[in-house]
Amino acid sequence: MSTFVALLASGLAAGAIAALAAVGFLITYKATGVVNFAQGDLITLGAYIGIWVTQKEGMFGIGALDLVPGYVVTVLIMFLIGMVLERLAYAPLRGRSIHVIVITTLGAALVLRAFIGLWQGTTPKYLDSPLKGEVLTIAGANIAYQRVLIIVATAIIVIATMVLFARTQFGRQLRATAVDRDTAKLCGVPVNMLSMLAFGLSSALAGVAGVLLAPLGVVDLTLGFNFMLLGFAAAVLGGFGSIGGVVVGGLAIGLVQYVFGGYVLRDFNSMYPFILMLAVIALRPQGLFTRGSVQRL
Amino acid sequence: MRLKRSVSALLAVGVVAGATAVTAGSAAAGGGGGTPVKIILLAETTGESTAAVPYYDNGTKMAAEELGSQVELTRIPAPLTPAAAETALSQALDEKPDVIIGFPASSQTIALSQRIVDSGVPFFSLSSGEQLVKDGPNGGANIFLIRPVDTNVATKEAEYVVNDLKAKKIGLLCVDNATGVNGCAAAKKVIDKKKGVEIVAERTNSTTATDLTEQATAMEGADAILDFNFPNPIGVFANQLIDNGIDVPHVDGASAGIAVNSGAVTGDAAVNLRGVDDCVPTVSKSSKVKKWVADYESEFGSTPAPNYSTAQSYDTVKLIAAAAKKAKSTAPAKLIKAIAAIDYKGICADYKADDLNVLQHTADLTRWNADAQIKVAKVFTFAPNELPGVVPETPPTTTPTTTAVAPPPSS
Amino acid sequence: MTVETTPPTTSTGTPVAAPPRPSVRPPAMRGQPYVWLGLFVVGVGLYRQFGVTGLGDQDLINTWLYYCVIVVGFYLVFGVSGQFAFSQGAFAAVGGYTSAWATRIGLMGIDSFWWGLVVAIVITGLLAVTFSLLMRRASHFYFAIATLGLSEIILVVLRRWTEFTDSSGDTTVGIRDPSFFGFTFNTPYREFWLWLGALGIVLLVTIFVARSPLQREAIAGRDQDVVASTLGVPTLRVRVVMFVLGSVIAGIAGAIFVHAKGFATPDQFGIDLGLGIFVMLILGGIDSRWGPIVGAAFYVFVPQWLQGGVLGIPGIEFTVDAFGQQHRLGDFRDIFFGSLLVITMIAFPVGLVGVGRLLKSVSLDRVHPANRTWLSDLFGITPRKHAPEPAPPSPSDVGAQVGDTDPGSAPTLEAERPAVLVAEGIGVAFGGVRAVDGVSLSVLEHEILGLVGPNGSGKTTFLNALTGVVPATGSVQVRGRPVGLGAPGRVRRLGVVRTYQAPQTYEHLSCLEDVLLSTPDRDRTGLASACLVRPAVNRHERARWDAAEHALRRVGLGDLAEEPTSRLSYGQRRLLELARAIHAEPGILLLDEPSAGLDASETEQLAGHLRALQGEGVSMLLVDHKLDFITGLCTRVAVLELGQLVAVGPAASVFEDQRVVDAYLGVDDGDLD
Repeated sequence: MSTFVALLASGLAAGAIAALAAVGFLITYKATGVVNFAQGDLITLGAYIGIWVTQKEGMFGIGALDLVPGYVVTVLIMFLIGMVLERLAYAPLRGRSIHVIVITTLGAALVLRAFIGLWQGTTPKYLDSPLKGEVLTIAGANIAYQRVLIIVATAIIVIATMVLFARTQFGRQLRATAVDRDTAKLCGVPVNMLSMLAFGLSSALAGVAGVLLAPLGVVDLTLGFNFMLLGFAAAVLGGFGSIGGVVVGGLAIGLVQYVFGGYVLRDFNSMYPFILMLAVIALRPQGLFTRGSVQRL
Repeated sequence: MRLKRSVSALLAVGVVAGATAVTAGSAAAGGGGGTPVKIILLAETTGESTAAVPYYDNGTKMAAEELGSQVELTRIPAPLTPAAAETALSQALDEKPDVIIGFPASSQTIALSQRIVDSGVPFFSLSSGEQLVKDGPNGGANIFLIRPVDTNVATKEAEYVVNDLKAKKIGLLCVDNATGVNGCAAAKKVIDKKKGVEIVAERTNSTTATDLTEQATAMEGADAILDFNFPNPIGVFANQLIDNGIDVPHVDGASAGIAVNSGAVTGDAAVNLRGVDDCVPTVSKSSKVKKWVADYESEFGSTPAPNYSTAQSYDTVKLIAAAAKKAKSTAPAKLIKAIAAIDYKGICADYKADDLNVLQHTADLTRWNADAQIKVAKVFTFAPNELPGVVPETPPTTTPTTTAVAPPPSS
Repeated sequence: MTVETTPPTTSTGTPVAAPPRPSVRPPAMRGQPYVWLGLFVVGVGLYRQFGVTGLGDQDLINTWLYYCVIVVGFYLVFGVSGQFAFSQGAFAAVGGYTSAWATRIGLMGIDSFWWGLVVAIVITGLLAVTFSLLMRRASHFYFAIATLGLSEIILVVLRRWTEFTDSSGDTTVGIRDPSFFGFTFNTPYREFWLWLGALGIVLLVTIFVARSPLQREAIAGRDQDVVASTLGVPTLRVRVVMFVLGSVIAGIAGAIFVHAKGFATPDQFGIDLGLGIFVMLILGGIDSRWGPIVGAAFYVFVPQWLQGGVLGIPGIEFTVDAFGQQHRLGDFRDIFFGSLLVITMIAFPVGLVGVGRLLKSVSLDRVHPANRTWLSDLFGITPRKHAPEPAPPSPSDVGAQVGDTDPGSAPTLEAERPAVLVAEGIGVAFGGVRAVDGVSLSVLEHEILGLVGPNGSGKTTFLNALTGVVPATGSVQVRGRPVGLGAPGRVRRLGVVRTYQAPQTYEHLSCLEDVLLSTPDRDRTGLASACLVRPAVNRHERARWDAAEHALRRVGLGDLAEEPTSRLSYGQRRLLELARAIHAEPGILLLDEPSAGLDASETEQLAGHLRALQGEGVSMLLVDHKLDFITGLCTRVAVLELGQLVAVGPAASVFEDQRVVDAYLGVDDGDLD
């Protein structure tokens, strides 16, 4: 039983990170119609920036920050980086076909990863957390507080994002742009600024995912990529439509990998999320949580 | 008196002539009549793989600088994938080197072993898979292993757990590549032989795993954990063991040091952890080693600190120069003979080739305190020609010669 | 449909053959691709024989050829067929490991290399076809993500399934050398010839595909697949065939690769290869079969050159001090390629081959038909000559008499003519809006039925429902046979063809190929025919080209047959769509506002064409806004308003119906002060 609870917590935590990645995708997708293939490397970058800011001489030599302020600064830096990415890799291509833009984000991902490799080297590094070593005991299972933090933080962020989308001007404008960009422009929605903000927000979410995830293990160049793939799977399950949907998708992904995969054919557990994803694409391509049938777009 | 003066003059001339002859002789012996030994290093310094580290580059460079015109050193980047590594090997062979030092990852060397053997060039392997020993499926007379054989190290680790820690219930974790597979196979051989010792749980993980909860919880009840893994999973696993209350020694291999150096493993997790480094120059008590460390750090800085890879690379270049000097030639056959016969005392270890072409026969068991400071807990010594024989049958790529070692493996 | 003209005779009365009209053909049939391919193979072979020394360069050339094969496969999947797939590397892995396994265990008693190759082809093909069919409903994005997922699954399986891969650690070694009939390819030199042969065959297949209907159908499916389905193109089959073809090519490359090397690791086929394949194709040029060759050469040789000489070209030897470490230029490889990808997408998405074509066309003062004109337009280079105005159709091209048939004097009474198309209770709902609400309409034989109504009344949606473009309720019968709704292309099989409100022409095809998409003769259009029975394919093709050219001449576009459709004006594209409809030899034509955007004389010409078609027995449903156009052509008119059928009857009386007047002009509620 305690094993089950432990695996449940692992699954929820992994699913939460996948959900964060998926929400990041969703925001960019809704604002620009583009799926940002650089999202995984942005997660990695977030972890590395966290290290840079909180260790040794800190950012540009101003001294190492404490952990929590360091996290906040990291997220802000990631927000700025997202906006820069939008200017460099997306804005020049506005109006081109989706293929072109997606390939460009792929190129951006390559550049990002190579840059991190050159900047920080490839020896593994570590981002500390104030909760390191603390465990929560539930039903006989010891769950690292960091995982609990991941679950709680994701829940808060998701709710905040939902409120953002539903209740604020920004959210309304974003939804309008998602439905019809040109009409939104005609209605006075500042679509270019919106794209920048969307990329920035999405990148900030990647930064959050990075600093939440990093303390669990060692930070290296492949940290974010795997979670990006899981984020894709989560977004597919949720139908790239609603935040709630992708969050549930993320949880399903995490649970199938760690809970199901903790008991059945353990060696292959990392492929279960993708099998689930392929099943959903084959049987219900519009996702499990969107209504209506799909037109092959 | 005149005779005495002539005799002294003759003696003086004789001494001078003799000294000149000696110095001329030794100068000539500095690599086949004065020509430098051409060494090529095949290793990558940037890129995504964990093998892309500066240790080999810096170590060899430092030695080359000290040796001056005795050696000529170049580096060709060798990407991790064997096919790209093969191109690097081809480019190296184009340069007609006298010696090649190469391939931090055993997968590269094993995959290319046929070509390396066929080339006949002396090849110092930076990785030490059991397959690469002289009469192993991927070994050859010209391939020398700088490091102790990996399965020997794994065997010693298992013996340490069983004999020194006196564990009766062992948890076994293996990463899903050569390191893990071979290591666990060697460990199981030791454990099977010992009565009253059982394996509580045996698990595997991928090199990029970030959550080893299932593996950690499965090991409940173990007295010791034996782990053959990569740095990232070690960082995760060491902490998850503590989280789950499994507060027992956690014995790992060379990657443990990398995990600790990254900062991921501190406190109880660090105290429980053991690693195996071929040597630890930074805590050595020998004045020769201390001086070497100081020289290194003044040239290359102290981050990252020089480790066994650095020291071994340095030693290898110097060993090669010494062998060339002895052989008075850089011809491959003569060099190989000289290397096989040499007894060289280096920074990291004393190197002497056994019949399996293994050069180093010691390794250090390392431990850390709660502040992640390292110390050497025990020195493993390997008898020459010792081999546990865990490598699975692969079709031999070299014509096998009869040998008195390595009984057919049964895994 | 040709009218015979009396052949001229000489003074002695013997007939002199009329000078043959130069036959029109798709641009792919022009040029000498076989010659170029031969030259390429010979050239590379000679260079290798005499120009390459050094083991490093030998290895690099073999690596280059390996990438060429894989990326040519990807060109077929992505460049031609538009399927965004990350699975190419994974299929190479499947091919490689399957072949290694089959030869290792001596599957079915045979352990030779060619058998391993066959097994690899079969397994890869099965996997590809299963995947493609399972994912057939996925949009571009989802398909791309699905291929990512497939790659991950395949890699996990290969890493863990050690009984299959026989790997120690993660390396499989001891894979036998490739050999054919006793000849073993066990040196880099021999392997080079094996690779060159494989590449030659694969490029030959791309020529076969380009010179068969498959290419234009794949392009149509890529650019506008719903429209293509309504034209009768079997888009799903074409998509699957191209995906399987490209993936099998990857499998073959993988098989040769692992056997030539003698070893295999899963990392060899991981995401680095997947991204690299993308880079190579995009950089080289996504529109050409030579794009992969150029791109792979760039990808393989340029980084080597940056870090020190390759193929005899001395390299750049300097180091850069960055981030506290000394780096050689080659260490910046990933940044270089990533940035290059971004720059290529922004500045020259046609890739290096496209840039080459552009330079060639500048120097030769001629535009390659496959060139994207946006690029040449951007630099103000084309068009040097505008597409000529359509010549008025000459009498011999039009066929039956154009004459001024008075639509009122239909030869048979309405009641006696059978209904060729019966739509009953058609309903289309978008969310809560009922765009079409229970419309029942019949088109009688040989009639042109007009369908009018104010904007938003549901006319186009009705046509969309009939042709399966939107999901709909109700039933449709064509000549008494029921047709399912909801999937495009079903009515096409029964001879129902439509045109669109905005002309849906394919800008990457020539006019001839565009028209050919709707051909009624679908014999020998598949891949197997294209590769194996080319004479039969060519025979059918020549007949199709003639028919298509004839259709183009009818509408006056005959001289533009080999021009890309992107060079046509709006009015010309309308005519092209009409020609395409004519070529389909339809029984029933559904026309969606064909006169929109045409001026008075063009509209008159259009009316002439439609009357001619009616005279040939085609029945029509004509949706339009121009009321005099409608009344000039149609005996009966139906009126829709807000999705409902408001009136249907003779043209003369329908427009006096009060309900129709109200629908168009609004109800007068007396508030005009």
